[in-house]
Amino acid sequence: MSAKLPTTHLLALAWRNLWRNSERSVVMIGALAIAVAAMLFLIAMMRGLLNDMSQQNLRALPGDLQIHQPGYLDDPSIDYRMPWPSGDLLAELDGVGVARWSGRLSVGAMVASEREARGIQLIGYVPSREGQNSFNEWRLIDGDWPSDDSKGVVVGASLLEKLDTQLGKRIVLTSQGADGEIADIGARIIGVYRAEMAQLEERLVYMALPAMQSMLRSPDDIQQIAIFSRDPSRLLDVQSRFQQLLPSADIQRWDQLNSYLSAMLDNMDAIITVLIVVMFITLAFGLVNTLVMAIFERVKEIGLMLALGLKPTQIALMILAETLVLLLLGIAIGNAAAGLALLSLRDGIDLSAMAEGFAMIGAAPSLTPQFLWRDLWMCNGIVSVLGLACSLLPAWRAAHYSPIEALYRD
Amino acid sequence: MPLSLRLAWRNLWRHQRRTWLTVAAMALCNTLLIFMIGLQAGSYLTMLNNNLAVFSGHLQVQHRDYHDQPKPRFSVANGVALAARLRQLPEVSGAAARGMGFALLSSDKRSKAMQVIGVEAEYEASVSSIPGTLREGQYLSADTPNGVLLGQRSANHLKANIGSEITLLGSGRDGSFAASVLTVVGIVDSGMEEFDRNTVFIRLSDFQDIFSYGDEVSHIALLSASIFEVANTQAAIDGLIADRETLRSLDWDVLMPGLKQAIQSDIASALFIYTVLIIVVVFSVLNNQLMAVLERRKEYGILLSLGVAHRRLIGLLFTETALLALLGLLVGIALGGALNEYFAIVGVQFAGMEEMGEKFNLPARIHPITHPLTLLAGPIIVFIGSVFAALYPAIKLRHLNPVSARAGL
Repeated sequence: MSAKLPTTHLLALAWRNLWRNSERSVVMIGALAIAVAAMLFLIAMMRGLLNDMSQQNLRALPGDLQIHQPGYLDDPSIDYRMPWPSGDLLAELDGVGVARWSGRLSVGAMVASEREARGIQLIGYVPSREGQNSFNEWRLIDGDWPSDDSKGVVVGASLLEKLDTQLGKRIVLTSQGADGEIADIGARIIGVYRAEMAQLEERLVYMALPAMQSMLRSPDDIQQIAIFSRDPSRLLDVQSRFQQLLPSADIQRWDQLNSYLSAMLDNMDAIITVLIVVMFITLAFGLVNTLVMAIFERVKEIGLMLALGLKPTQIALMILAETLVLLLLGIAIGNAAAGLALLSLRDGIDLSAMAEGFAMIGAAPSLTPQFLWRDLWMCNGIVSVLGLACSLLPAWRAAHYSPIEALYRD
Repeated sequence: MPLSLRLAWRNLWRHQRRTWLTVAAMALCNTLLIFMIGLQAGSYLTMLNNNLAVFSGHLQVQHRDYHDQPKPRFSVANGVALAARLRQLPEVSGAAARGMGFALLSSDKRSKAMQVIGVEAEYEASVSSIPGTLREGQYLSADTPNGVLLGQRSANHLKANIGSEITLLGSGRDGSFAASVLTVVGIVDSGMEEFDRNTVFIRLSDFQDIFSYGDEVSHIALLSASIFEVANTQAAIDGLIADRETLRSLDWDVLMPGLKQAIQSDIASALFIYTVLIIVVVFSVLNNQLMAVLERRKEYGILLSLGVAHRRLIGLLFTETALLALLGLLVGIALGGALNEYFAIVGVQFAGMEEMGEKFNLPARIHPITHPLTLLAGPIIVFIGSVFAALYPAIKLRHLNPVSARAGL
């Protein structure tokens, strides 16, 4: 006699078995749900923080893809410059893969008011190409952004305060010109901005590219081509196309520009996997215990089922199904809880009380969790697969009871 | 051994496998906690020591307004003499006066705006690790008038070597023009990229001449014997400068508020992980004890019928749970302590740590700390949580009716 047990019956049996000791199952499902929810929440926060650090890192000079002369990133000097794009490069830049692009200058400079001197980073950009699109994170609080032919500079509010000067006053900018000689220029402050991080606000000074080119005596030269891609998922393609066009240039994606951040981004998946696995192992002991107990109380019953002709495989499947239902319930509740928590925080968490600490790691004092479906599948997948793996041994043992011994065990 | 303890012990081993699984869950959790807390403590202490010892010092004496508005006019008069007096305090292990200014530095090939720091050459090494990182040439001294010390990166940028002439252009304390020609005498490598890129050192006396400081200095940096004695040292310093109203002392927490907050936010995220780990383990214990109570209904029914009070049975349950938790605690401490000791010798290295090291001036390996606090804090919380987990089974036991329990209902 070979009894066939359809899958639906198997699931029904598993479901009922699970609720025969409802308290035990609820405790286990609760533990699973808490662990899954906490993991998902933590991962989204970690991703959010890293994302924010990468964004902040780019705020000064945004761009999905940035082209420099080799050496510039180590030593941002005017010596590493290139002409404004033309020919094939210009054609590619104006091609389909690129949403918009622009050329920029960025050098270290000294700014002096009548009372104070400070070291700053002077950035020259083409307002008509970038407008406030690139730098829209900066809030202009006074005056105006420059136009293409404007000679004025825009400074951060805290730099203005440090320099002890004000809007409309003149400051002197000094740097090294393209010819190696000292280059200086007097410029009027035409705008004042506020940034999320005081660090940047104190350091970044903006002016129109033509004015800066004439100050540095390098007409038509730039140091950086910033490219905003039309489709972020095709960024790698765009990068390799430009690399073919300019074999000797240093072409970096936004996520490669900072060695610390790119190392973190590269390792993020590994870090998340380790975190989930460690959490799961702690959980696994409880899970195995629950299963072993559930089988232990049912030895007689399993013996009877075997005696009635159920195959060992079907017994094992029944126990695996029971584990699966338990896991899926825990995961579902955990996902829902994490979803609710993340949804309620989607506008970001205000951490301004810790602003300086976040500034130190290069993040803004507001943290927006970043949820990725990939993380959800990874977390759920690891928990389900490892959970089922844990139940294999107990299930196999139960399936290989001798019916007679099991029936008469007390 | 009293009867109840013996009973509890025997009860524990009625299901050996179940007990060991729960003990293993607790032990693993405790091991993880001990290791992670030890590692955190180790990295924070290294981070604090390295960051503060590089430049800022544990404490600084400044003009009252300098910290909020770092302007040249908020300076410390007679700074060198004051530093000498501070150095006499037994609590102070190092003190050195400094001047801070900005200037454009030019070699014959390159120019760059940088921070110019005037240091007391003979005392700077007592508050800062930078003099110890000399790569080439010599440190500033009385024999190096108008000498300048460059960072490795700023030297690369200026394309300057030992003996190169560097022109300095800036503005003095009184708003006058500050200019000088300096000779590179040495190259240091502080290990902090940004700092190295943007900072040069000259002698304090040269600084005072070039920037028209007279006998004024910007601040006096101080180190105390250890980071844990800063409060004491600060009290001693405050006593000494009490007669000078324009001055105040600031500890590292005020000087580098980011440092403490970075540590605090790291602790907060770690606490979140720990809490979840502990909750998961407590649930395991709860399930374990719930099973124990449920399968002993008949037995409890008989005991209750025989006149044993509910109170005794609950006491027995808690004793059993405490024994279980104690096993987890001991195994966990043994494993966690061993793991910590091992890595304290070998060091821990993470992916991305070299880059992080550059950023926070940390060594490439972190060594966890084993201290009674790092060893016991986690396990004791797990222990307490586990004993609490028996509360729910205990409530079930409390409501057990002898007659129905004996019938196994």
